[in-house]
Amino acid sequence: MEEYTVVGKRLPLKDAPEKVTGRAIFTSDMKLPGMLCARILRSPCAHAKVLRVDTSKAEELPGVKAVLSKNNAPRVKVPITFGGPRDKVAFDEKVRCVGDEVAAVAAVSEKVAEEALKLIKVDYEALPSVFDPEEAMKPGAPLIHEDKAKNIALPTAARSGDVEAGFAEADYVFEETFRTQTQRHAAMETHCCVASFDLAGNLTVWASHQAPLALQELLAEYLDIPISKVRVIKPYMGGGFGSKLDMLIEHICALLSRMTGRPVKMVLNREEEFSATITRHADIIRLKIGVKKDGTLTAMESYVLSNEGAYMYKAGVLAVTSIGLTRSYKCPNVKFEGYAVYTNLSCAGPMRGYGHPQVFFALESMMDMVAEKLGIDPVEFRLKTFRGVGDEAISGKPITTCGLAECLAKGAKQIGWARRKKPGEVGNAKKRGIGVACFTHLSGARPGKMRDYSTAFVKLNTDGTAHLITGAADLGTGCNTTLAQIVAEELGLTLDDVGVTAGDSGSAPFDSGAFASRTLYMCGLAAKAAAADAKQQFLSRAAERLGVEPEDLEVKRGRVYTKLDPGKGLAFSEVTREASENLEGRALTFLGKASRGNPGSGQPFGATFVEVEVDTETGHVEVLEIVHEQDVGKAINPMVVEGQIQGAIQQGIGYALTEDPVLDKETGEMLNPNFANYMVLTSADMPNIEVGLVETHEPTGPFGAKGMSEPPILGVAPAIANAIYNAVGVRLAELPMTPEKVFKALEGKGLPA
Amino acid sequence: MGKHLLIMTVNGETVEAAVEPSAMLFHVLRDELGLIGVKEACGKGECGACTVILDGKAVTSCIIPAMKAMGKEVLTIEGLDKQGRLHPIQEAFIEYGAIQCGFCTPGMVVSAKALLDKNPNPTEQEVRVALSGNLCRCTGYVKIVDAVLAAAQKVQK
Repeated sequence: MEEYTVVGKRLPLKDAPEKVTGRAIFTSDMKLPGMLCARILRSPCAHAKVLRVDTSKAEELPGVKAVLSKNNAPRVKVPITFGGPRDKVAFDEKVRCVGDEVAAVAAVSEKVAEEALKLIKVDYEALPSVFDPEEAMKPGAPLIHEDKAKNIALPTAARSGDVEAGFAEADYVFEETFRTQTQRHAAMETHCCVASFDLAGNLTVWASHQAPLALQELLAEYLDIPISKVRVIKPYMGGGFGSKLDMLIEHICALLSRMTGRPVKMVLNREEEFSATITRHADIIRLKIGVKKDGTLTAMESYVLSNEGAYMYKAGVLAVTSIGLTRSYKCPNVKFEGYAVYTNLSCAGPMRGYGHPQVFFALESMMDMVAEKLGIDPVEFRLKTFRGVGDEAISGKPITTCGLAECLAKGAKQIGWARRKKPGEVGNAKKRGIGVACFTHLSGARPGKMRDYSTAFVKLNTDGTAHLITGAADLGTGCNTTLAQIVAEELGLTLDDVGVTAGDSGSAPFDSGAFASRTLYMCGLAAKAAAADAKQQFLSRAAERLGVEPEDLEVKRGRVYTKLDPGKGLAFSEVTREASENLEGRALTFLGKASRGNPGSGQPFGATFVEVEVDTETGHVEVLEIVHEQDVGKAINPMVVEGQIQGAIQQGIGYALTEDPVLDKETGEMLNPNFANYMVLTSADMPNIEVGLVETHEPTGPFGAKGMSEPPILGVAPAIANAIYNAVGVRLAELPMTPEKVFKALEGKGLPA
Repeated sequence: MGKHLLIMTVNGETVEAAVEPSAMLFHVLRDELGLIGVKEACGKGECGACTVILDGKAVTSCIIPAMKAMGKEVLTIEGLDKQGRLHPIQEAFIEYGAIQCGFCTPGMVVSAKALLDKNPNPTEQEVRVALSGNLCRCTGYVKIVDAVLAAAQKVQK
């Protein structure tokens, strides 16, 4: 294997010192001269006509500079996100969920803005509402979007083979319905932005946003101005996990800035962040599987109702759900039918895993049931039936590399899979069990389904150092460092020698943004190719000076030299300096550029093993240990990769056990929009986590890397469910698996004895 | 009701600020003194992002009335590094990869400092409990705990 000098090293983040000293300026820290603060008035009704909005008293309040409502806001369909349907109008004639925007105020302080909101009088005509997708599908259900015949945002279907025949030839048929909750992202920095129009009509927006280049285009479209008049800058950003891909508040602040001629800042408070931003989709998944005695799958049929909420974000999540269900396991006959259903809940959208946490909770729970019935070890069963090299990947192309077998072997050994007993056999009042779940995902979106490409510039400075300019958004993923590692390796430089400017549309070319675990894989491909392009230009100049051909040269550790005689060469900086400072009319800067689309490969794989202890007297589930093995292709920075995995596991345990949005039955309002009652795990709650990285050297990825930041959440909930089953013999099919649900399930089984 | 004069020591320096009676300590630190390392992530004392050390005790400054700091000593993240020389806890956070987005980091580091000031040789469990008031959504806390334990070793030397 190749020896790398920068790639593969556990290097600290370039921006760690800024962050650890509190110097890093986040959007929420920004202050500009003359800046106003904006707040949004939100609907208390789940579904209502907005008859009248009287903002007169609010406008008269000293310190209030502008008020927006349906009276003066443009009646334009809001592109919530790129590639999404246009089914929302800001400050519409109707509100469709609690928290929907009714008005917005810009004032000299947040306090004054809050006062002004209280002075806005709104007349609502309440309409019947619906929160359950099964109810919303019934004829006569309240219609949430009048331009649609039914509350179905998107029907999706897929089939391959003949499931009827497949079920007919099965020895056993399993059927189960799984339900999941609307998990919240709960990034530590809430949605925030500062928007500033200058007098020439140029807009600058600083935003805590995962796709600054896409946001630039969304704003231009909404405001009906050329993209050249919009600049979006992403400062240091406090997390996102999929919540910050939409245009949620930026267009409102832009409008207020245009009205007032002053910069306008909005920072959502935590209650709004929980209850008025997108959530994960709650799915009802009915799964039916036919299998032969020897473990061969003969048919897989799934029916999914996905709770889309009040607005459709994008088609992607249900589509990805369908392919996760139909293309993870080897089965010749599959059928999928699914509906994204409008309800009067908050809009659902992308959240880490993008439909696959729901999928693998259902699939991996069911495969555990299948393995038990057949008397096949669950690990053996996965090895036999999970897709691998050559099979059709989730992307639609053949799987190129797959480290699943190694992940299962390593994980099983690490957790002590051999000591696993039968349900109920380990412990007394507190019983222990071990479970496993496998997963796969994508690196980037599926080719041909949406805009998914990255462009990068790499310039060589006069002194031989380099600079990467990329639209990639580092939301805590460390890509400002890992992308620089890729460029450094390509150019034979140190990490310190590569500067990075990222997430600024003023300098960076188009980049689709941070989602679908694409940043390292695709922004990395673009950065590597741009560096190679710069290197090629550099080598041409160096070759001239050395009297050789560019192919004869190699670049390493700051030197360029001939392969045949390493002693014959120049310092990297000598070549760049000569080119840059040339006075004979031959001066130039080496500037590499590259655009890269998604090759459709690099599918990640992995396995999560969990040991739990179930208190049969209270239903409380304690996670004792998690062993997680993941095929990452190549860990560009193992320290960063481990950190991403550990963080995803925290979210996965919350998804499985503790993160329970409690919704009001009458209004759908979230009753626990705070950290006191929406339980994300603290440091004291975390189990011991062992992380193993398997490197399969994916040929389509930069230095062999695959996307890796979403997959680690996927196996946690099903592995915990399977471990609970192994502990106490009860199967939970609804998330989160709270003590109450576990206790009820135990009672139903007559436990404790 | 008019503003009150608050006099306190912040990061070793005496400061004066005219504050509204209803102001919380973190408003004064962030808005009056420009100490943006004190973050707001919930405003209710539930997440720890605003953690500062007040007379030796780690507190969530978003729910401490500003006037409670009268005559007292406040340490924020900005007071840890001395003219660019990082505190061992900060060095350990960098070295162990304990920082991702960085938003919880100031509060987390300050809580760790409060712990090590009182308990220079904590067990892993003691570290986990001491940091349990500081929420992080990025790291899963693993490398944070490793960093604090490593820093404890360093500080003791």
